Amino acid sequence: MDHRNLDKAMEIFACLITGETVGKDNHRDLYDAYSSQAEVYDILDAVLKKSNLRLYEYRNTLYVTAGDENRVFGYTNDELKKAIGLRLNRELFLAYLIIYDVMILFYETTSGEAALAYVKTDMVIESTTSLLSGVMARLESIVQNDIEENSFRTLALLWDELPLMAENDDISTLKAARGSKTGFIKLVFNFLISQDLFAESAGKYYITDRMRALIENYYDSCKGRLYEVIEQSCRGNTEEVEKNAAY
Amino acid sequence: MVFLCRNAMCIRTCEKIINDRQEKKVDNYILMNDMVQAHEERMMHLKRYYPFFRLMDSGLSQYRDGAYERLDMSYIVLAVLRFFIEANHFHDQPVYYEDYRQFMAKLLVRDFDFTEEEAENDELYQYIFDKLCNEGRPFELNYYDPAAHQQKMLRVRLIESELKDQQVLYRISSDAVAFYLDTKEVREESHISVAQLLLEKMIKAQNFKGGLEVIGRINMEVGRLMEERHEIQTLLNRHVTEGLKALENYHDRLMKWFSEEQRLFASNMALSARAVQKMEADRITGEAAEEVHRLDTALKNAMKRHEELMHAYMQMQKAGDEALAKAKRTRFRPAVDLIDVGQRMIKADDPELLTHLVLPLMAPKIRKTFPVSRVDDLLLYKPEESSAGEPVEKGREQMYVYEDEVAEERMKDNFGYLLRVLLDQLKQKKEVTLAQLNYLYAMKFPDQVLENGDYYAFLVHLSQKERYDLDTIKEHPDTFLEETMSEFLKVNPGYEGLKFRLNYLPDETISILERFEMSNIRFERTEE
Repeated sequence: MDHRNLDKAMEIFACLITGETVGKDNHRDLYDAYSSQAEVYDILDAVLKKSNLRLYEYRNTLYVTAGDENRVFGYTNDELKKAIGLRLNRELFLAYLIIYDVMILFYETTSGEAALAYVKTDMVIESTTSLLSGVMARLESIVQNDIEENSFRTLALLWDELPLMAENDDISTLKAARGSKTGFIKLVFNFLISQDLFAESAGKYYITDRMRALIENYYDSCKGRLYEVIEQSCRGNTEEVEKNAAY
Repeated sequence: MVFLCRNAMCIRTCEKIINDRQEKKVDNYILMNDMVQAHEERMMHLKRYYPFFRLMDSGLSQYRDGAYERLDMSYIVLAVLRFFIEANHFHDQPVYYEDYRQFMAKLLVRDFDFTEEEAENDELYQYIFDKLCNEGRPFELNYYDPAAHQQKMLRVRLIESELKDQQVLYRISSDAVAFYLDTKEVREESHISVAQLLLEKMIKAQNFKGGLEVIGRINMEVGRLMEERHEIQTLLNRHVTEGLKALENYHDRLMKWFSEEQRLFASNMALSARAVQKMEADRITGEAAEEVHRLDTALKNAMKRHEELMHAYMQMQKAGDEALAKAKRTRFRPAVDLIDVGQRMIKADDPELLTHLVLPLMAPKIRKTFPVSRVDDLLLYKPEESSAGEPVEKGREQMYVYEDEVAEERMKDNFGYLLRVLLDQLKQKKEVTLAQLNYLYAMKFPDQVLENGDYYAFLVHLSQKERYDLDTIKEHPDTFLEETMSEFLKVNPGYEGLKFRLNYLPDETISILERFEMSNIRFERTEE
């Protein structure tokens, strides 16, 4: 193994985990080494695999994300609650739902980007409301037990209880806070900006190349695992219902 | 069909019937082809007009209860498109929102008689801009394709946005440029070739100003083709099949016209060069000459841009090949339907499942800890090192002045002040002593004047001669002081004919600031 290649690979690794981008526009020498020297590619691949990190290349730039259950580089729910500025689990799941909603506004499938150029707060409020109103109607027939802490119905109720805007709040000076729908969306958007997934300009929110890279690549490579987790959860629910019925 | 006829007349009639039927068949084929097969193509052409009429239709009647209904949306759309073309294609610059805002403010004041205060309406500008961008969505035109027997949708934007370095840049779309050109030009031919032929006529008719306008239009068309190339590039990244289809179409048009356009460029360059030569031979100057030169330069630049277009196209072809290869590699990887995934999660009624969708988007978490080795740094910490120094901007050296040149300049300046007081005194009185002068210097200038080195230098220089004739000095300065005096006299008239001499009074001693001592001097005005 050539030591220079090892150095280059480790340099790329250090840049990626500290949030720097490596690509044709930034750290070009490192990107060239990655794309033209097989050994650099192999070493980086091995190091990333051992660290349970996933690497994606998008428009000549490299992006990295923590793999499933990565205890070192991945976030726990509690850490994310702190990072976003939330207290309760249901608030966190509502934030997740909003992020998912943003994702499907831009991407219906991972194969192609939707034609939407940007989103605004009111657009996301509208689509989250419509997503959750569908949940409320459907769950009437599906869910047989009472409202649980972790259910979509809880999220729907939480969302429904939030006023559109907090009292004495003006749209121009609106604060990111948990007390209103608009404030909550802003809280989530601020977090997405801090994660370099969103960029804001005059009240319009654009998705960044980092977000595109992850959406277009991550889920495709983890499709099997994703459906498996959903199926497991479905099976778990059914078994519980059957158990309750037997008692 | 067989016709059994006996006479020639009947045979001719039969032939006629057959021919008529065949003609009808051909006509029918053309009719059907135009109606059915070409329908999609026609709709593709029509789509670029769609946003304009949609915007015209909605107008500003919904905004603020129709308070701004008088603003004509059709004019605003065309004006904004022209503004974008100017920035994007003529100056090769993207447009920032602030640029658009300033443009609109001027437009409203100039064309709709808005007052300056009325034009301070940011909300209105934003509303119009959102309309032009269709709230970030493309304008969607639904139509029925009779050839495919299915409903189809065409998407078109007027303005494209791009995020670069955390700033949103706006560019006009190629459809919008094509639409703008269509409002005044004819299609189905290369715009560049048509414009070139026009340019040729203009150069021959010596209408160079008109020629410049035509070159502007050529640049606009080249810019549109560049923009179209950019859009195909983006399309290739997203939908490789659609991208390749668009690339093929682009290739056909570009290749069909490129060589002809280049030939016309060369011929017009020759015409322009001849015009320049003729003008130089006839020694024509003034505005006409300037116009010819401007046209020549503009034509050279337009030709360069045209060549750049071909180069960019070649690059894109390479990208197309790469995209195709990549698509072949990944064609068997099915995409994830995110909406379906979401529905399944909702059906499972477990919001925690969303974690699997959201967490992968997060950047790697980094936990920073304090390294023990940094304790050494704490012990060696020097506070002054942490203070930020004044940032020194890098400049470009334009000229260099030596230190002695600076000192010389300063002395000349100071000598001027001291000299003025002396000469004014001599003009008013017949004589004046150094002691009196010192008093005046201390009064007129800051207290430190008697401690100033230049003051003593002035006295030393002054003592080099016993007599001074200002008229002679003005024309023929002899010493450094006389040179200073000469410069002083040239800019300060009123001392003509003044002559004076120095009488040293060694018995009279002057004490300055109780630190220095010197002999007194009497300066006397003389007539000779």
